[in-house]
Amino acid sequence: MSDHDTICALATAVGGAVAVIRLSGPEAVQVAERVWQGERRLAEAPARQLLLGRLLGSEGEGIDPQCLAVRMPGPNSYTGEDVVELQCHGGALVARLALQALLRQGARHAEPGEFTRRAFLHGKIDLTQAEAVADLIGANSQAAVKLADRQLRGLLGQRISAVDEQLTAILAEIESHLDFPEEDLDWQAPSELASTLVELGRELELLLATRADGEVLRGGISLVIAGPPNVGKSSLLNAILHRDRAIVSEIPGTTRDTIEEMAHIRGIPIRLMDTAGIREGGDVIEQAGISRAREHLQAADLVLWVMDASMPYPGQAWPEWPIRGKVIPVANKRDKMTGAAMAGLPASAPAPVYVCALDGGGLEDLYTAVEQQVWSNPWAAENEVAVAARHAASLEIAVSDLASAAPLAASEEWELAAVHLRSAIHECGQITGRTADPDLLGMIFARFCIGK
Amino acid sequence: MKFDVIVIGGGHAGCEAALAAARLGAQTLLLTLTNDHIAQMSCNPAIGGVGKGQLVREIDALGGEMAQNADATTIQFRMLNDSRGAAALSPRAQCDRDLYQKRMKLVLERQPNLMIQQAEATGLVTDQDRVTAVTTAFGDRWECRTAVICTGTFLAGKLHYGMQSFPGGRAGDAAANAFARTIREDLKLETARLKTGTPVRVLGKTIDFDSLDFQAPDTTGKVFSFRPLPPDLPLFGSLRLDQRPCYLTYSTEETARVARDNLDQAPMYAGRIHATGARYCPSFEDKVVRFPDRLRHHIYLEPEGVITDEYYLNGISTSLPPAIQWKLIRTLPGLAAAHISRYAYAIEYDFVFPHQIDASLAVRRWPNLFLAGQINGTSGYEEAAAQGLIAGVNAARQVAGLTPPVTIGRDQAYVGVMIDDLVTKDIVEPYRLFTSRAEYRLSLRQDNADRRLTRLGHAIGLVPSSEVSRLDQLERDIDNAIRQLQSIRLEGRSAWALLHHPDFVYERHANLPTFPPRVMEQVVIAARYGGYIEHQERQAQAMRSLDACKIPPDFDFKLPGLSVEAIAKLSKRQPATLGQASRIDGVTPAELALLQVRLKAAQGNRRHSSDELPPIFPDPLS
Repeated sequence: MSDHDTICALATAVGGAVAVIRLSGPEAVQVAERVWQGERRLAEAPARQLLLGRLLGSEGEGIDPQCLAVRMPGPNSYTGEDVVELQCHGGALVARLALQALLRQGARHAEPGEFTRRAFLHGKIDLTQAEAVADLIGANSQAAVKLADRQLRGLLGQRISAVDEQLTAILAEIESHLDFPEEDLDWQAPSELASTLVELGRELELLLATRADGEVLRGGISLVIAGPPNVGKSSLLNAILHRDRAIVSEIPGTTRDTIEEMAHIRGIPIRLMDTAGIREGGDVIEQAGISRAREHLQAADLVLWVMDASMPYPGQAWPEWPIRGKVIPVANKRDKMTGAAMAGLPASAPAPVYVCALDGGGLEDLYTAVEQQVWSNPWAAENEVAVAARHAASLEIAVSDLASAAPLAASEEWELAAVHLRSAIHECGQITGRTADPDLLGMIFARFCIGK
Repeated sequence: MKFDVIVIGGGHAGCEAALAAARLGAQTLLLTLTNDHIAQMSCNPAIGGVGKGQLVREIDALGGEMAQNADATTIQFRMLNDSRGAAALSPRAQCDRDLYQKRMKLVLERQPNLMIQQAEATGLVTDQDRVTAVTTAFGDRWECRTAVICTGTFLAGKLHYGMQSFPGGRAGDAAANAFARTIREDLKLETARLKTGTPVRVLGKTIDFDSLDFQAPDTTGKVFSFRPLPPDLPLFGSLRLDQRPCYLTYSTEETARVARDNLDQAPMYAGRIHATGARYCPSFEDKVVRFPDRLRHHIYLEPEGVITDEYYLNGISTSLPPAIQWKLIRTLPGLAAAHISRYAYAIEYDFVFPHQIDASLAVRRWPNLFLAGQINGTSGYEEAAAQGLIAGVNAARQVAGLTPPVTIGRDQAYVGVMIDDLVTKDIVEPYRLFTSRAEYRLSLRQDNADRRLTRLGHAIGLVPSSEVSRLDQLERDIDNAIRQLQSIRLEGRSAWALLHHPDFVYERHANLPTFPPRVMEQVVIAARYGGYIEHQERQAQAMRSLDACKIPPDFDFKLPGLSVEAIAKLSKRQPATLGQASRIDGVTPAELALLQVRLKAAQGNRRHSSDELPPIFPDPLS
């Protein structure tokens, strides 16, 4: 079957020790054999077995005496087509010369995402799985990797498709009421249809509720450490990072500018920011740092408001300006605490987490508190799937459509119920790619790098 | 003699095609096998139905004849789905079979520019890519500038009565075998076989009507046409025929047993018919096989006219042998002593795969040849008539040198939905219009067909300006009524806002103004459907933008990345827009995305040749 032309691309980053060149298409094996020579012909060698051979350049000259080749015949390959991978020495030039030779021999250079697009085209994966490929490559935390893995296994797509199929069956029934009014067909009771629609809407709502978690996993959160001067904010930053990133001293106002670092807390990707201690007075530079701290504070997803447990609470500030994100009060220096030092916190404030930044005491409690604030529910990190913004936009429409369709079905206003049902089905199709419009697909595959 | 347009076939498609062409000034010839069978209703004696009724009113708004011909000969009018919303309502009329034919024949005969001749077309003369003349069995050779083929079930038609089969275009009519060969061999059009069937007719005096339920005729005085019937046709101008009821019976366990026991004599099951029939219009033996648990199926007894006593048995079409048909029919309650006056039969015939035509109904490789009706794989009088109208209009426009041809969008009319389906979808069974095929169902209603299409009909030249004036007045009245209702406060809200609620009963509020019924009807629908139509519109946006993206006529679909199947289908159909391409079966969303990218790239072509070093980022040499 010669479905497509044969494409090739470098699948690994330039400059590594080994370079992998991938070919896919009906002539993948023939084209590869023109630039790779082994003891056995690739076409005759067993599938999915690495063979040693040598790599030839455009003029047939040897360019790498040690090159591994593997043949993965379609349809059981990544793209669903015949695929060949060549593994040669890395560095700057070998792979590039090999690619040039492959192009001369009849392959075409792949466009970004084309291998994955072909997999989608051949029905190997749905759109959510294609997106998961990009997510996996871009994942910056263990939790994000796990999420992408589950999505790549098709768990999200399957749940949407299951709803899609049921909605389509209901639509067919509704349409038959309109198109065959004189046939005595076996129709379900309208109230049954309506309650099925409500159930399906609930299933989509469950998926929609994972949006916040999906955003956290895909984009991470911004966490700002703030509070009065000299309470140990920078010590806390160093403790979370396990290294001395910020200068720490006994002198209030040591941190004057914002320090930003990437970190993980229990698998959550976090943009961690240490800010200048907030107080009145100080010099011009310190005040500039403080105003910057306030800006970060307002924009943060989560704020660790640090206080000094060794001092009595009255007299310590509590953030009063509007803060977008959630706030966890942290009482540092718990080792020096006397009595119930933090008694008298505003009634609205949650109970503080007691830590000692210097010896790491209480940090696990703090991480648990962070987790509780980040995930929408306690088991979110173990969620089967979490939807991305694109999915959520479609789910929102579909959920509202089903909410409208159910009562219309119950009152047998079929032609109106059908409008909403068609819309909901369309949105499900947008998520899995069954009905996705071309602009959307173009945008999705544009996220990919060449070679994927 | 030379004609501008020659129409081959005098069925529902041929009549509309011939009338439209002649009315637009083209010198037109209609060739038909038997003048007396012009506009024959070969199957049920009814016009309209779900989806089809909408089509009839669209034909009327565009200036076609079917609606008025049905109105003049109606013996029962019913609004189907009358307990449902406006978009579900579908008018249907039982018509007198003989009078329907006779009136249409008279309309054709009196139409200036239109000649009729009883003759079998046997061949087409071609010159390069043009059809230049039609030859007949009498040896005549009629020169033509365009031709419209409307051959219905006649192309190599074959009738099946059980295991016996005879050549024929319909019971009592000969098949068009020579012309079928011309289509295949001279025109080189790709054809295949379809199958349809018709049930028995029984004599009224042998039916026990007293034991049957009946459906009384609608007494509302509703009709299809938006226009008054012309008074100048003798008899038919103001004719109101006696209204007749339909009767209702049902199949029994015994009926199913008779069918089941004789399946080996049903040509479809004995392997004698290889053509495909319609799933939505199954024969009784199909019903028994497909729904073995359902023993009771509705069967309607429809009167065939006022000057006949034959009844049509709707719901029990069969191709079982005549001897079995007696047993089958006499199991039905009320029909224990029924006498069959005409046997049921199945018919198979050639059709032309409609991927070979474009949305103007012209054949792509023979641009002055148009196809309409069952030859395009459709089923139904109304589907045929609507295509005939469009084909006749476009043939006449081509003769007059008018461009572009008239094509109708999916958002404008069911006619547009149907023709777009024909040029994009695979025909796997006779195509019938359903309301579910329309993305814009809420707007494409039978009640507003004139508001949608009268102006187009006028622009084409088939609708008089008096109709446009009437419509303008109606639109003004509707606007004024809505404005008036918006200004009236009731229970703290405007009367217009209250009208949006399904439970609001306008008539209960004595102080609200009264409007003419048509105005009130349109206002209520606008209020009730407004929000939903907006929702429907949002969904259709994507389709609209794809429809707006034109594909050049010479575009080469052999694109890297497209599957062989998609390339074959796209090349075969040559879709005119990306929207059409998207509706072709077997073209996936991903392939469509690729096509869109290539169309954009076709403007600024930019590709790497294999002699350049391939791009790798970041470039290690820079």
